[in-house]
Amino acid sequence: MQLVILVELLVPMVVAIIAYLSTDNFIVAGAVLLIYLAYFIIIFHRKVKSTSAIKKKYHQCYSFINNFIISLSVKNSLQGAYENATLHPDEDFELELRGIKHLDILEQLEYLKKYYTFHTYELFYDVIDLFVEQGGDILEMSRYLIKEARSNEEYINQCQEMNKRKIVELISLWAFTLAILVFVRYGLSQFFEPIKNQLFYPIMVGAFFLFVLVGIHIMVTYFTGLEIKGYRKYEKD
Amino acid sequence: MKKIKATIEELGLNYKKEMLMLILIVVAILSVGVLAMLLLDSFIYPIIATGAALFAGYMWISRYNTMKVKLEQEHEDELIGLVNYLEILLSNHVNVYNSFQQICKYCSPWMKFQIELLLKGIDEDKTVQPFIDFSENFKNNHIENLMISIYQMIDGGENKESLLQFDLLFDSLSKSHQDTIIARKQRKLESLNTYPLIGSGFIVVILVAGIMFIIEDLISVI
Repeated sequence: MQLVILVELLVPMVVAIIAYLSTDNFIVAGAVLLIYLAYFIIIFHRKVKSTSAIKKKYHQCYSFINNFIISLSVKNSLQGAYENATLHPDEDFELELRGIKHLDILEQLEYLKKYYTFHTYELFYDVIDLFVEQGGDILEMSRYLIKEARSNEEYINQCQEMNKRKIVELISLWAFTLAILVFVRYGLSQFFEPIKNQLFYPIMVGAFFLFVLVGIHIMVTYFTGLEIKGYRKYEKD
Repeated sequence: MKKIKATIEELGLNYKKEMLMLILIVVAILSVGVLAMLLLDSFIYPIIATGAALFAGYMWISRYNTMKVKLEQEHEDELIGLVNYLEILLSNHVNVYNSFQQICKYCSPWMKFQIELLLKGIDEDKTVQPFIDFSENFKNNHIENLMISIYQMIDGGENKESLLQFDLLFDSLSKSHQDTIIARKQRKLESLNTYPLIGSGFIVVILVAGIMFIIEDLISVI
């Protein structure tokens, strides 16, 4: 999260400096700084935080389901499997567990549906419920469930890898584009002197930086878009 | 026009509202053109505005087909996800009818409605027809084969062979669907490369505008 805060402060500053260098105009640079800061603090921060939270929760959910099923197959006891699966909880999960300690294991698992709101967890609960009712080989019963959970986990990891590669590529492309603007401004300084104080020039440069912001927003939207089943608009909160 | 109306209604949008928006956009663009003509005293602006209005109208109407394709894709993605859950329930000896009932809680309102129609069809007609009718909601031909395979589980009994046949059919569909999702994401990410290029083009436009300004200045001096 510290890296995110650094990006939220650094990018608007760098863009504002480039806006000033290309226009020699404090008003344009100030407006660019304010708009970028507002975007990064309000929209960017919210999107990145929300996606990170979903990814982290899904990783935890996958780990919980895996540990529980494997422990259940070895110990053949819900209590033992639950203890193993909740051995090293993080802060949020520990808070959740403390609140439900008084319930029996199956009730605790049912309650956790509100914490792990993914389809995978709900199916996991249904399979455990069936196991408790009918008995059987839990590994065989949960074969397709684990396959589905693993497929989602692999999808998240693959998306993360693709995003990392793309970020590097896009940062380079945008850096070159902004460098062209500064280079043209200072390389052809005699050409820019008569036009930099005309109304159209700062307006067009301002429009250019707005376009850059639109490009950044689309990039952030694509990077933070995850199709994890169970986290869609018609899902329960 | 009837085809456009049908597409708009299929998307769950209000036809009158959409047409009103379109008219407002066209009128706004034409008004800007007329205003520019009155202020700057040139007939070029209404001509440009007419062209822009026609282009905007075309883009507004053509977006409905894109939305329709996207919606069909979403429905198919949703169904593949739900059949995954069906597989989990069927492998745990829950029968087909009850499995469909149980997966309703994971559905969108549209899918829930289609599944309820399917279940109603199963109650009234014991043939494969309700399953084929359900599969007609989706463009992918493999879904019909999948639904027939599910019907065979009811008709022939939910034994290991029918479950295995369903598994084999569904596994290949699920794998190719997963590959499609990743490919779709990759294509989306590739399209981001155009924005820095357009930005560079923007810089060239600024340069050209600057050159035109200087030339205009020189001509006025001469």
